[in-house]
Amino acid sequence: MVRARIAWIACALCCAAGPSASAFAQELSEHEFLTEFPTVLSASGLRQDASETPQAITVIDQAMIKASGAREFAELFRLVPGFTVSYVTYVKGLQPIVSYHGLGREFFSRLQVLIDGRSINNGTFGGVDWSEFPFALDDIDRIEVIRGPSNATHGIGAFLATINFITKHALQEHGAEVSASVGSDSIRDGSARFGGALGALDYRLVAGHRADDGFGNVADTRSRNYASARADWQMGPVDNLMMQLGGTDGSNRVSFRGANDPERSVDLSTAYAQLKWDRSFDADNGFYVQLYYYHFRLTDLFLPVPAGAPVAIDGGSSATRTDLEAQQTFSTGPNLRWVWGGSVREDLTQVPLLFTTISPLHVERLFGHVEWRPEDALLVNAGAMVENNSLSGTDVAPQIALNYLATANQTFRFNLSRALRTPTVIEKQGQFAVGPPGSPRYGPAGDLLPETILSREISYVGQWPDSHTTLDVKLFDDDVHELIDLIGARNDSAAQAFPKNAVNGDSARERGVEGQVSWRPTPATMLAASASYLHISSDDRLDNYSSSAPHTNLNLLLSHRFLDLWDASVNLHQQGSMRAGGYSEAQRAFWRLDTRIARQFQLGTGETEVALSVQNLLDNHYTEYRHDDIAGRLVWLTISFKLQP
Amino acid sequence: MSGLGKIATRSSLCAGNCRGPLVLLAALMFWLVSPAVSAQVLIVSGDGSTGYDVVAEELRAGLKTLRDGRLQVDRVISARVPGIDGAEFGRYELVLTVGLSAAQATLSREASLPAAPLTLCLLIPRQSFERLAPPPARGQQPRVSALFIDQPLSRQLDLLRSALPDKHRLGVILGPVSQAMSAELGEQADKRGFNVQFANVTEAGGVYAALQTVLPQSDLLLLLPDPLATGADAMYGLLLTSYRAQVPVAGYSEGLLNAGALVSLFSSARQQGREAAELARGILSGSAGFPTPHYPKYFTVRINASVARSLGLHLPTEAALQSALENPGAAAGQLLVPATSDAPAGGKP
Repeated sequence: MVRARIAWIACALCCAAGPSASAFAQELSEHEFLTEFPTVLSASGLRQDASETPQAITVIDQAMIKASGAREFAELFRLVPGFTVSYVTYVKGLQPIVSYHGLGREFFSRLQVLIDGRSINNGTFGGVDWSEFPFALDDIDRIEVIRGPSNATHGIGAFLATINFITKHALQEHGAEVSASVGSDSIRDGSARFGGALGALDYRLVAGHRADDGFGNVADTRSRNYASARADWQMGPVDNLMMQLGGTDGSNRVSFRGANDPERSVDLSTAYAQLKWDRSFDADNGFYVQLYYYHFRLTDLFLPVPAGAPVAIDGGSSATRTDLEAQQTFSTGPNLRWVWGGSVREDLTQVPLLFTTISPLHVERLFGHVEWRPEDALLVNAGAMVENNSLSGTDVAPQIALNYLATANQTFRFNLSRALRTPTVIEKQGQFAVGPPGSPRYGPAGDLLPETILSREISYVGQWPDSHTTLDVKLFDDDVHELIDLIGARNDSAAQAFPKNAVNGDSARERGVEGQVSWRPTPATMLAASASYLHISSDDRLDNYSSSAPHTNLNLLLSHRFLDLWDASVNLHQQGSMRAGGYSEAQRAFWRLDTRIARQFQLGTGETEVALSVQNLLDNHYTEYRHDDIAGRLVWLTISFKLQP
Repeated sequence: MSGLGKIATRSSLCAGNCRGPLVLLAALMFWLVSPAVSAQVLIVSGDGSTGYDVVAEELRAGLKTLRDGRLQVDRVISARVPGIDGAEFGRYELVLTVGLSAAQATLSREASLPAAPLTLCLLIPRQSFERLAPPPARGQQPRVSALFIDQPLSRQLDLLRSALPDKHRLGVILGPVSQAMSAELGEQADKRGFNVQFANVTEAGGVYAALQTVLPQSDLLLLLPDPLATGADAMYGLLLTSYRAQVPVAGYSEGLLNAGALVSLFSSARQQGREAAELARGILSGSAGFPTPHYPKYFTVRINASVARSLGLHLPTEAALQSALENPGAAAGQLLVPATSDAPAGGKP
């Protein structure tokens, strides 16, 4: 089969190169019918339909991104059931915090966040630097959110959920575009992009700037420059090479508002490079090899106040990640599809404040899963990951899911999975100053076990193609064990009895139900609604786990295009009361209403769009992680101009 | 065979000036590829493709038992056709061309002959054949015919109707060549309740703009072969953009299916060879007349199950779709046309 394909390809190439072909370039010949084409929809590139996935998923596409009125990436997760978006200002300046089913705090994360398959979780604390995206929202094609643990398919760190940002292929949207936004809170955003092709190589270059003043009465101004490049080179009928390069650079004002922590500026920068070679024979057979590098640096030198000690404290950190991954997909018969692969990773980190030499973290991972369709109505998805971590040893994360298609459009899913979160280098090796300010003591590093989750999920996916409606409801009961936390890292922590810095302190049980509905009756109209109810029970010995997520979340997004010129959308969001972990304070329940209205103009050969966005239209003054991080209304105007070749 | 082995062995052992065996070898090779005087059937094909070999193989297999197994079948590549002696050419009873370049070379050679043999063109698109061999003048006996490689529009549309009954907005990207089919397509699609959106591609790189026009108004995209609009350069972007817009693509080849089309309708080289062998047997044995140009009766329906699942589409099985096309109801009675039919199947009468 493959040999025959190669012969045809050779034939097509000969004919394309031969003199006879050019003479009849406009004549239709047998070659149009017999030639092979590059595999476009490859094994690793196809997105799974909601009824086929082993876990509940939410897909946020470009239409939803636009309609949501979001200005920054983190805000988009208000659209996803079970997710909470908050802000913190006292760690590295103004930072969004995204969590799924709680258990979150200032700098740790139990989510896996990927951009085009490369992890951007910070190698030091494991959190995600949500302000450090090297491109604009317009460069996203879609975001796939896997709501549940998925070590076997999404690798290390895919603990409570996985977010995969998929950027637009360089082939999409050739031409030039510039965009500028100005608004309240000193919003000054701008971006420019150019896309083109050099033979079989398509590329896109993006550069931009984001800046605002943050919360009204807090010194949390932030400003960021970013630039990135993506190239997709179609090397041959089955081979594709994707190359990405980029980085961010900027500074944040930060203040802990404590005696030892003066108001100051910190600098943040990131850089990354990614190379992915994809060889696809068809939608079920192919492999890829991917290599990426990610570097994060926080520069934070300051003198304590009162300036008793003349020595500056270095509160900075850096993390460098190199990761090599390979994955193969193949089918053995029409009902059996296999995916397997492996990766090796090295994380180098430096955190001078923690008074310790941190040894590199090495992680090797082997994973595989199989999709077996014993009959049309039944899909079994089973897999496992084996991870060897130089800090915590070897562990296994298995998963099994069964999708039963009761009718062509009604699916029930049963999923049982165990997943891991291995300790970060800081958790494992860091020595934190604990105890009241002025009398720091440094605890020794601890022997830590990985955190584990046993997740049980029953879902229903209903699709009504005639009315363009889909519904997805998930019931879950998850047990999380060996939660790692830092002693004394909570405001009112009295847990001084623990002898170590970071320990496996608590367990939590998370039960609830969440769902989403999508209705797109015409290409011009969209409604997306999501809701969740979550109950967390925990002894809370080390942190506020049981209140770390709101009991209820609700989101309603409605958009419509009028007269093929005007786009209008409203997004209504409700979040219940909560108190996240760490130094956060209680947050009351709130509602907020965001709107966006945009109009397109044809200007010569270009297309202009003017958009007015209003977030928190009713100016509801709710608070974020701290009582003085008070949300208010934000208004900005965006003008963009697009010139297609 | 043993003789050839001896020559080859001797020439390889020969260290000095030994042209003799080489000349002998060249003569032997010429004999192997040039038509022999007593031959009755000539296959002319392009060079260097498995597809041509498959057709030739099927033809040889199908004709093997004819005339007590004494029928001689010669094969040349199209580049050698201009060099064939006129008298020799005229002695063939039937010439079978495989591919467009073979048809072009053969028909151009035959034009200079006083009496040319019956010629049946295989692996050739209808449009290209019609341009190459205009129908004979009234009253004149047809001498050139064809088995088209493409599928009748009616068959393609019937397939889409039964595969995706709830999709009614059909987008079509036309190029300089497929442009000629727009009127017929519009008419045929209309009959089946499709609302068709056309967009024209007039220059290389124009496909993306055409898609931007068509995709928002389509829930299904039909591809018609065209060197510009659906050529290898355009295909990657075309399939990717359609997929991102969640619009399934219907193709006309196995290559398109593997690349990412949802469904494809095509005749494989083997199916073309099989049908050609049946036609040739009919002509040579006298059991059937010389056929008029027609669409293939053997075809394959294939679905890209992974793409279907990814798009959340539930399609009937390939076998069910194939059988619906092979055994059409009274309304679609033109789907299968016997080899002796006097009109292209499913095409305009």
